[in-house]
Amino acid sequence: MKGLILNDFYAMRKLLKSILFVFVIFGVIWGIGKQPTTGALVISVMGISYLFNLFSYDEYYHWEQYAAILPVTRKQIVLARYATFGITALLTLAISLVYVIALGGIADCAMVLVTILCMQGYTAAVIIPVAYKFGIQRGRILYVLLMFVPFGVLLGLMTALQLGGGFSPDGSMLAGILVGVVAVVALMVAISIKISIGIVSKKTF
Amino acid sequence: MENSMMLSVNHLCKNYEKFTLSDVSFSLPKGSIMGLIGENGAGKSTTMKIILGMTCSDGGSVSVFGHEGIRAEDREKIGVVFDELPFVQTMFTSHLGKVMKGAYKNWDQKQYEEYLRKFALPDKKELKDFSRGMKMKLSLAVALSHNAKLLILDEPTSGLDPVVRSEILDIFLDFISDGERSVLVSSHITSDLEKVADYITFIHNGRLMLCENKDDILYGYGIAKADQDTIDHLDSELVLKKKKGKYGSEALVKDKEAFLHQYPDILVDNINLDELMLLLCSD
Repeated sequence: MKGLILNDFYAMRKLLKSILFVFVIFGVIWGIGKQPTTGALVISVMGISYLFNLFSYDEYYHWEQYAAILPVTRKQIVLARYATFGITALLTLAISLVYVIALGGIADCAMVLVTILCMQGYTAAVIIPVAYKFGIQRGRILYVLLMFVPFGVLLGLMTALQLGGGFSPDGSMLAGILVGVVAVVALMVAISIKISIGIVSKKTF
Repeated sequence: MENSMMLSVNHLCKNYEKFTLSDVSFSLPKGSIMGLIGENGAGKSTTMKIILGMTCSDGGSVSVFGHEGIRAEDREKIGVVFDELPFVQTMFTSHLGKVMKGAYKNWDQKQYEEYLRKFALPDKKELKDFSRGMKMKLSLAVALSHNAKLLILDEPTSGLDPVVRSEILDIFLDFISDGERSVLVSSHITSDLEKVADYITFIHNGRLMLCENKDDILYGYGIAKADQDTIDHLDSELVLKKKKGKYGSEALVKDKEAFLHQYPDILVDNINLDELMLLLCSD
């Protein structure tokens, strides 16, 4: 499995420069605009979005086919891809937090942390099985469509709360809501892993 | 008997919408090279993919290393080369070595570096800038650097010049020299197989046409050439196939000696694998 993860990172090697360049540009823009929280969120989402390229490489270079003849199980192939997502997510999360803290937004750290974790978890949970099932080109379109789901749910909730006379949770209630959201995303990732293993196990080359 | 076999394919079947592989059987003994021949789309790659567990069969079975089916741990001992380099080509050879070290328990980094030197494959050069010959040599270097017992190679010499092909063929011969390792190789360049293969398996339209010792084919089979009437009246026991030509007719003879004994006045030429394929495929 280590070899599969290494392969993913070597495949991404050439993109690192452009990723860092984009990070710096967006970091500066939102830093000047005094919106470090937004900057951190954008950095995180963009960082993990680059991983879509891994599926393109798999298809283009027929790596999927080669991985199938390596001494690993299909389950390990899938877990390795999720591990790559996880490692990248943690790295971009760390960069985002450092960025927020450096620009004096320590108070927003917890919110940034939870939001990024949820966005990245949702991205991984959706994009990986979709890419395995439909290929990355169709997967990208489906992913963009599915990104509207959480925003729609959030918007719906906020509207409903406003219509119901508003909602102002205290600190412990807010913490509970955040933990609940993280738990839901974690559950989504777990289900996503199971679905992806099912798809890849049935794949023929 | 089974233990002397590296690989056994038994009555393999696979149905696709527009293609059917049916009842393909052959066995590859230890210490030998088997050439898999056939036209494009005959079923060679499908057979290899089923052997490797990349595709499921609809019937029949495959035994590798003496047991049925292929397990993840068996893949430690199988080196595979596809006709295209299947690695991300922005990598360097050193990156690939690290990836494979993480994938194979038996990865021999020293051996890999030795092959890179032997094949003059540079590091710090992206794989996409390698020539086709270099890419093929790199695939071979990977396949040979994890102590494989069985090499499965799909068209490894296609598109290569005669010098590189000769080098690669020498590697195959060296690989099986201890008598414990085997090679299954598909190729359209039948002259390569005539040089190194011990057995030839010929698949045509998804069906097994022939699986025999190469020397038995090259020294036993022949092409009898005569006029149409003579060919038409040959003993069918001695003839596998007859073909009408523009300037005369031919018959594929399985046992040259027996044929010449019965028909001493008919000219019988030696046959090569290309001619054999063409004759067996002809209507």
